Amino acid sequence: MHIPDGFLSPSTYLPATVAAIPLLIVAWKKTKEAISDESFALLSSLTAFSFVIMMFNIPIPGGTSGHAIGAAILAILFGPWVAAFCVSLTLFIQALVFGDGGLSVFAINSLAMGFVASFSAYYVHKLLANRVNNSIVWFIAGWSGIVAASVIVAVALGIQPLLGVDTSGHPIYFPFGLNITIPAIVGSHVLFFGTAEGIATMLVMGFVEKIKEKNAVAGGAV
Amino acid sequence: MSRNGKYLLAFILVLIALSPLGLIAEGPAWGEWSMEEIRSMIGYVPQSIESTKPLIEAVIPDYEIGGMNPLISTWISALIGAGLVFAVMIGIKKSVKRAR
Repeated sequence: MHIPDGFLSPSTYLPATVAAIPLLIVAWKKTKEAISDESFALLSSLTAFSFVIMMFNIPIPGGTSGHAIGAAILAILFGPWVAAFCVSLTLFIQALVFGDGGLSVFAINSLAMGFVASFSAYYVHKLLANRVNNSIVWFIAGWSGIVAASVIVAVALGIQPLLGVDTSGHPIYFPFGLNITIPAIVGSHVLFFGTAEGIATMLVMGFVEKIKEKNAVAGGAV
Repeated sequence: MSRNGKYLLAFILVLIALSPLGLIAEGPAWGEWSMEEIRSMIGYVPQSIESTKPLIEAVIPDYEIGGMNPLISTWISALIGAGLVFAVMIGIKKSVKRAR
């Protein structure tokens, strides 16, 4: 879901950048409030987890691949703003150092995988918490977050053929329309990468809860 | 470091050790194609995709260090990425402490 440079029209990424800047400022402030000696180990480890888990590319039928994001775990434990900041930090390092996702379209990637994934997962978790078994709630929160992000990416890419064609009638930006991007991107996340994010959320949340419990017994902080 | 901090760090290090598993996937993410892949699909490369240069050239493009074994360059990339995350988070924590 990391959109590269050149794939989007400026009429898409410039407004996205204008929208993302104030959101990132709020997210940055909330992260500064959340960071403390007690929370530091967990917050920074889960952000590093987000970076590393995105390297676990899962092959799917059709010759493409994808991965989990780790946004839901951060959103459930630290709230959606902090999660959005931490995932955006990961995305920024990926774009800057590894060329994974374009810097010019960073705002779109940050809005989709940072903000939309975190907020969707957070509210789905809030809605379902204590009504269903924890593990199931964690799975659904992770699944929902990444699927919601995939909708943003599919729409951002799918509208590009409408936003510019050259003299020979060829699209200037991403060449496939919504009729192709929605099934390809959203469909693959509904089926595969949503499952991956759901399982990752379930396992890591289980692990974190376990060490928190141990700690509560020992009387320390995470 | 707290005991929990050690558990968490061990968890991240194990994941970094396993990160080359991501190399099993040969295809890119849907849509994140190279120019050659796009050309082979539709017969041309859209203008903007062909001409847009990155704002800053990536130091380790695609997590591959030129000429190095892919296994090792994946490990190095994962260590650098996770290390940068920790470095930035330490920086934020320090700046917050100073402000308080």
